[in-house]
Amino acid sequence: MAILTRGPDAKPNPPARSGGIATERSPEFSLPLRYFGLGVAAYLVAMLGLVLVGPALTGSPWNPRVLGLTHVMTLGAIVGMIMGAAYQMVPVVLLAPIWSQPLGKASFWVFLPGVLAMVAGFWFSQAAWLGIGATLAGFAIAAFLVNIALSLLKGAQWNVVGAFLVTSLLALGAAVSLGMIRALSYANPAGAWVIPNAMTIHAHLAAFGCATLLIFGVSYRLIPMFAVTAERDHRAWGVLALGTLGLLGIACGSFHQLDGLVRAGALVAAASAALWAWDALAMFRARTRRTLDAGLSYVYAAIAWLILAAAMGVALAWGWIPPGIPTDRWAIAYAVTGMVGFITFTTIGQFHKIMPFLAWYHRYSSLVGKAKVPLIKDIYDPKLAWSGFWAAQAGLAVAVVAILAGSGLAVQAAGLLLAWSALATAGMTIQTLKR
Amino acid sequence: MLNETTVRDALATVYDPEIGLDLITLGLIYGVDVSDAGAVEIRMTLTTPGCPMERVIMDGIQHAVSKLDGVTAIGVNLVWDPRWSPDQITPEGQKVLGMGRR
Repeated sequence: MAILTRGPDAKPNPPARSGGIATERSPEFSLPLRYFGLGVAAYLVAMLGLVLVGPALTGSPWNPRVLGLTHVMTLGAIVGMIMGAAYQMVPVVLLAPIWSQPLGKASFWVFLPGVLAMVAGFWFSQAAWLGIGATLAGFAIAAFLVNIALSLLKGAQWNVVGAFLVTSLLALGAAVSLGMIRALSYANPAGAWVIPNAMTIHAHLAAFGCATLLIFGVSYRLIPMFAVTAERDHRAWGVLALGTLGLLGIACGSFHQLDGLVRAGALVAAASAALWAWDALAMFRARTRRTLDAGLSYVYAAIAWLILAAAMGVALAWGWIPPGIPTDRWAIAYAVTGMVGFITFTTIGQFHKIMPFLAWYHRYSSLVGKAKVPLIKDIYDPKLAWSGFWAAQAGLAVAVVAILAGSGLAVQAAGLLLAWSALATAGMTIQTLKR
Repeated sequence: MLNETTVRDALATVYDPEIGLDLITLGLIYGVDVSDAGAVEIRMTLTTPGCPMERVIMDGIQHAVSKLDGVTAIGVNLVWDPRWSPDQITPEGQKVLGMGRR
């Protein structure tokens, strides 16, 4: 029997759009899964860590315990998730197969001890561990960047999401390089390379340049896909241009210690965030499925956290901090709002959609039309997901207020709520893999 | 006997596993032609060009329709004009998706 999948007069898909989040170009499930697993585990550890170091979050952002916890979150949870998502999404969004899956798998086993050594180095103030960890993690991230770059050169079909991805990965490379320089300088003070405001630049390259811009880009595909609505990316190039300019303003202004440039950069970056938020809200408003599930609710709520983080960032740059609140506390609250409220919640929300899909796809897709198969929602426990969602929102709200108010005990209470949300996400992952 | 109705019945057994509705209820099927020789031509769309379920749905159609007696060939003509809109979902399907609660 001759079977066609497309007739002769079929109009082709618009160029460079995917046929889903898993196609024949997708890598083996085990490649993204190991990074997703690390991401979820690190999220849980980081939130439990809030319970341990809560009082430290009301002090200096450069406290070793705070830095350790920050790197569990940024390197383990966020970069782990980003690497897993990139290995899964590059082949389907840009139609470029992964250049080397063995390299992706092997570099995980360099990345994991690197993250552990770095966190231990911060936590116990051990410069040697920090240097070793930064080197290992840096090599693993470099291998990831090379792998993705060669994948893209192998035949990617370019579009705005690809441009976001490349910008984001360049920012990641710069952030990691700067982080390694700082870590190695700390390990070897005699040969230290002094870079003005290095940590401010490092943090913004990683959090805004890498994570936030990547989320902005992929959301132009993922929100329409999951909310069943039309794509709305005609302003996406504007979001990317403003975001890149804003980041450059913050980074160059910090390096040259030009407050005016930092302030202008903060405003432009905030404008990028506002423009993206406008698009994201428009896509949500136009959605077919009116009832939001927990995964999409995480993403929806994250838009509000993004606006708050952008406002707090502008206030920090312009010195508009309410009287009575120390600048350090404001800076920590700003970082937590952006890193947890926007980056983590968006990532977790999209993970709540992607993970059940991938688990379902690998188990049941070949049976569709042949046998009765469960729906994706049947392998997913909505009650557990919703409990995690509400705990996360309440936990972050309490955490931000507690940090600003200087209440370590309340930060620890918030940590318990956030840890529950992480536990619920871990439970969802295990359940979907078992069903 | 192979005809448009039996093909549509087969298509009603193929679900979009993410949305939870079948292809007929979703209004994705624009036309079905069955030739005397048993060649089935299906003209259809998807909810979005980036639909995550494109491959799964295509495979599902092949499996479901090829099971019908007398089918000698299946052609799926995937089109984006007219673009699918939620209004094409049947009233029962709209109720399932909570579309009345705007």
